[in-house]
Amino acid sequence: MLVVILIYSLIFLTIETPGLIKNKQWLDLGVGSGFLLLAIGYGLETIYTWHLLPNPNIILNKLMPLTDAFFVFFHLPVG
Amino acid sequence: MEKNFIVSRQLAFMVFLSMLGSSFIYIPESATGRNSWLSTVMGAVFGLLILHLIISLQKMEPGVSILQMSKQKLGTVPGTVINIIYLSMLLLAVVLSLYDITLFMTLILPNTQELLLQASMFFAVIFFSYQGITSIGRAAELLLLPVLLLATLALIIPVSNINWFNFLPLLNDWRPIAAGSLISASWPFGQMVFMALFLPLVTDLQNSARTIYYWYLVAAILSVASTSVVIGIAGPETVTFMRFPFFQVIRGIPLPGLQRIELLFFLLWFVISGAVSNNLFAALMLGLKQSIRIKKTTTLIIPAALLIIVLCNYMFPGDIGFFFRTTAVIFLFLPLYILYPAIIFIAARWHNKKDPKSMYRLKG
Repeated sequence: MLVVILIYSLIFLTIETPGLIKNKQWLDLGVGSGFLLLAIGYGLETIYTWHLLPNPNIILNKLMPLTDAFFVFFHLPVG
Repeated sequence: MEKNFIVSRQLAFMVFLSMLGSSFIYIPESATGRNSWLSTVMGAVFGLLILHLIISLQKMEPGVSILQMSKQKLGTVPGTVINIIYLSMLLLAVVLSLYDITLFMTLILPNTQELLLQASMFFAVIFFSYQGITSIGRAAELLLLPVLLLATLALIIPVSNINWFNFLPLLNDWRPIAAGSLISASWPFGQMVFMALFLPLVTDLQNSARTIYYWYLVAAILSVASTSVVIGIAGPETVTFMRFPFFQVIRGIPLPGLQRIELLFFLLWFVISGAVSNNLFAALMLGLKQSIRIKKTTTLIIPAALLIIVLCNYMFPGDIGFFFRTTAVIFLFLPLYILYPAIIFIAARWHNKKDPKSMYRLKG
């Protein structure tokens, strides 16, 4: 995972960042960097399981009882 | 992504490849048993309604994105809120499709690590995204004929192995059919709502929208056929344990001289699985560009791609959790598919009735 993050980050920094800085496109640079930092954050979370960032599975986990009821009501096999 | 115009034919082919990619690889409604093909039909009808709704909406406001329409017709704050929900669901759809496709590709390339597959596949997606929507549309035109031929062949070859008694009794229990309809409406047919982001770029939508409907119907017919082949060959009980039923059924077909028949269709699996990720990712980039108002979409492509790969691994470290969570997304996707375009459509009609200038736009 660290290697993938490194490669993608280097590609972004090499291809996109110089042009954005040269053209003073600060909004574009900020948004792109924001997404990159978010990706790096979740990447490190995946590796080190720090549990610092919000878990996107929270909503799906809260729907699990509804899913169980869905399987039972519609006579579906589980698993 | 500055080359950004396509024609109806190209969008129709993109829709076709995307639909085939979702329905040939993963047949979620097959878990509902012998009448799964009926569920696929119902899901296809639902998707057609969504498609008609978004095309009608686009014809009312040519060249205007659905995200802009929602803010214009509903107000800035409500429009922004539902746009955020829409784009979040689109992001989730991309993550889900990537994980699904990764699992599928490990069947064909079992010794390749999943993360490597994801990173490699997304390099192709990034490449196409950099080329622009026009290139994606042209690629869809080029790939349509070989995919259509291979898909038809993949459906014809197993026909002699179908046990027609597997479809009986018909309509014995309405509940699995209803469940399968909801599942197939949520994935793959309802994802038509995400194609709305491409519609402003279609230059001849007013005159040639029928092409999109035709190719959607072709994809739907092939989807029903693939579900039927799966049930007919594997049987309703066995298919509930299959992760990728159509592929596994094809692999089990004995042909003299061919040990790995599924590789005969490698181009089919590779192209259609790539088309799903590609089209959803391109839609996401368009949506983000319109929402955040950045000048160049290319700025977002690589960071967004990395975010999707990372989220895929973070959210779904294992297969079992993925299976249950993909059923849970029905309760997120279905309301979005129905409510998002419907609310905007109703608001747009109401606005157009009140605003005389837009009446002229309606008349075209």
